[in-house]
Amino acid sequence: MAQLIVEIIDDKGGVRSRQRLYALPATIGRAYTNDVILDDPHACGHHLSIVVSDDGSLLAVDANSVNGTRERVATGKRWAISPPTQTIDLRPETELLVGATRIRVHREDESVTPAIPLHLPTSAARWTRLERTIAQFASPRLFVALALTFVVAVSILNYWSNYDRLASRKVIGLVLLATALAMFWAGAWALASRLKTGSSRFRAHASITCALVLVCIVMTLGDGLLRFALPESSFGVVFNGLAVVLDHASAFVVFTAFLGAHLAYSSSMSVRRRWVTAGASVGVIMALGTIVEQSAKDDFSTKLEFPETLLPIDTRFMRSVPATGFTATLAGLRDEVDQLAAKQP
Amino acid sequence: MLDGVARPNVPIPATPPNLSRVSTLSRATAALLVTFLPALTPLSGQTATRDSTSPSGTAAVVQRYGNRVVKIEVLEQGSAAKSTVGTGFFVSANGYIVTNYHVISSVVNTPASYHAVMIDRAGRTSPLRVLALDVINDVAIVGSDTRTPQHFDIGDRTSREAQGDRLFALGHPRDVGFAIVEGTYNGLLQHTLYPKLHFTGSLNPGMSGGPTIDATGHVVGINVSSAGEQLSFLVPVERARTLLTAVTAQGFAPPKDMLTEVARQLRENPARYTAGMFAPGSPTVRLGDFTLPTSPAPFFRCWGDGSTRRDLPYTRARHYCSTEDHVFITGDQSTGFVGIAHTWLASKELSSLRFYSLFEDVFRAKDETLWGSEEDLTRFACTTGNVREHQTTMRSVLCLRRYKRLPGLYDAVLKVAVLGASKSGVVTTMTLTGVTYESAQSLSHRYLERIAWRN
Repeated sequence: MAQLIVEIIDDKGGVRSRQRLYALPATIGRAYTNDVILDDPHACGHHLSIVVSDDGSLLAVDANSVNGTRERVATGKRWAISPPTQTIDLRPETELLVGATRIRVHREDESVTPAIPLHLPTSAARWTRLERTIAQFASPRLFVALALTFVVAVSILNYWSNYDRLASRKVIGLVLLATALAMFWAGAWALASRLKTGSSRFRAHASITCALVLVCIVMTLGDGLLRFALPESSFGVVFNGLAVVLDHASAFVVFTAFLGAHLAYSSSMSVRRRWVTAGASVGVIMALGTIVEQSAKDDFSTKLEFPETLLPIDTRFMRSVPATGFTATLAGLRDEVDQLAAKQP
Repeated sequence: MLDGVARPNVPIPATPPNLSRVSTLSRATAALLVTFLPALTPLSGQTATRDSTSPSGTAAVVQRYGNRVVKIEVLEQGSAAKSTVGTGFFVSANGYIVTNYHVISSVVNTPASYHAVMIDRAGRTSPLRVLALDVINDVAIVGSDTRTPQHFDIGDRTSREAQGDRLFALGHPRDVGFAIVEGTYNGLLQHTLYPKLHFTGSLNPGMSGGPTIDATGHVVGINVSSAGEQLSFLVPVERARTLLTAVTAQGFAPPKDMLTEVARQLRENPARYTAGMFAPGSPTVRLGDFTLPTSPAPFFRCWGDGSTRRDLPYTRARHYCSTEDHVFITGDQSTGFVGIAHTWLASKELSSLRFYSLFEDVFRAKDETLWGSEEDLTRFACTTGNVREHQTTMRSVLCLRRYKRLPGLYDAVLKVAVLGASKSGVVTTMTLTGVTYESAQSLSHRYLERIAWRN
């Protein structure tokens, strides 16, 4: 007689544990004398036995348990539970409900389905490298380095953008405010991690937040410098179009990377699913932002705003045009407002 | 200064004028006009006091010439409610009446919604039709069905008024009844783009379009606006004479579309005064190491102020010039304003990065002086560039918006940060309203060429 394997099934239908039975009859229940010991308050000390019938078939025999032994019968996606039954015929697909515990009994000579071929993505190596980088965020040394850089960078930036005498007091206040906001962001992610994975990973989330802020600072400064030195009006449509695409693409990559990193610490999603989620979220938010911006573009307003960056760089590094070249761009503005006037009677 | 707020002498609107509306007024003009709409004081009291010196004079003027003056009402088509009340006066036997353009502007701008009628001293009513207008000088000629031998003669004459001559303004102040206001002639205003006579006497809303005459019944000017406290303004009668000559000429036909005529006059107007502005050799002012245009034309007024506050680590000085005249288009829109403003900043104490933060904030200050409604204007479209002239690099933003109902007219704003110095800089703005595209372009160009650093 082949030996039997008892499987205890978890809530989602997966196998929680497997146990081999070396002899029959075997007993199942909560008492420590059983061959299979259940950790279920609804199971009796001796709940049932597995026996071999006279004709050689396997039977589950209930030992007059309080809650009885039932059969869980699956039909397609639905399933039904039989009333408590004294003797249940065990076939390979039979699933028993012992108290609140689901168990299955297999014979060791039962055949298993052939293995499904595995196709690993070719970029698996790159993903692994990225995952390794993300794993670095949990390191205490990186956290300290990033946090210090964050404080220094925010201080310098605030000092530069203040031009009254009380600068230092104001700068300290602003740095505290920025730090509080960053900690709040990291804290929210830590809370999510705690809820999803049981561990808050605050340090990792704080490191990611500091890194994100630093990257954003560098990108904003770079963007301001480029726009100041190379204004849009001195280039053609193709160049400006490329610049816009590059601008959006870089923002997409940066935000996706950091959102993916946060998710790595706060979800149990697979690597692929996590990056798809991060990319899709950032994509949707950016698309919505663009739609809102575009739809508000032609709204009437008498307000005139000049959101320019001015930097004390050597003017030789700036691309400039003579006055005639600049005022020639007025023709484009005229066409634009003429079209607006024609559109809105 | 022709909108409901700035121009105290606008005809009485059906609803009180919106006092909170921001106009394109320069600071100084606003200061000049703070006393808007003086309190409703009985005009008869004033005239009675003065009449003690010549008891029969004023009364005789009213008796002799009062019936040549009519009240003009602009009515809303649907409700037949009065939307505007003003004054007019007969200038020909066939019933031509002179008034202000702004009295009948609703009829010109939205003829489907408004019509005008006149009511003479006897209470007879007659519909009016607009025959000719001069939007720039705020004069219009309307035709009525009344045939009257009682009219003023505004033909050419040799005698000229002298400062101090006694004049009489006639009209319907605030629609309380016909009134005569005695005052004195004080000559042509200086520093104005459009000729205006200075009349010392109380003009009130509702008297717009009425005549101001001398004791012998010669019309000197047309009541147009007031700055309160007896400081009032008249359009010289010559402007009405020009229009009347055209209207009475052989083969005259009124323009088919009055609004097109308004647009044409507005388009032609700036060419008269922008020609020499910011041209090579025009006046400049020096702020620190920067040379900037100033006093673009005689009708501009310029002011300056500077501040070195001990609690601030930088110095700021300002210099600005603007025209004081506006052209009234509708109660919601006026135009013809030109202004320039320079703000100079310097600091010994700040590092250049911190100085540029200050510079940037001053440059970024929103411009809220140009108001308007969506019916009249488009939004602004702007372009940014770096301009290099005379070895001076300037960060420049140029913005343009269009008048929707008046083709070919634009408002333009040019804002420039003059770069090069690490701890000083200038932000300068040129504002043009109601100009053609060509004017906007050439003025922007010339303006940029007049700016220099260390030259």
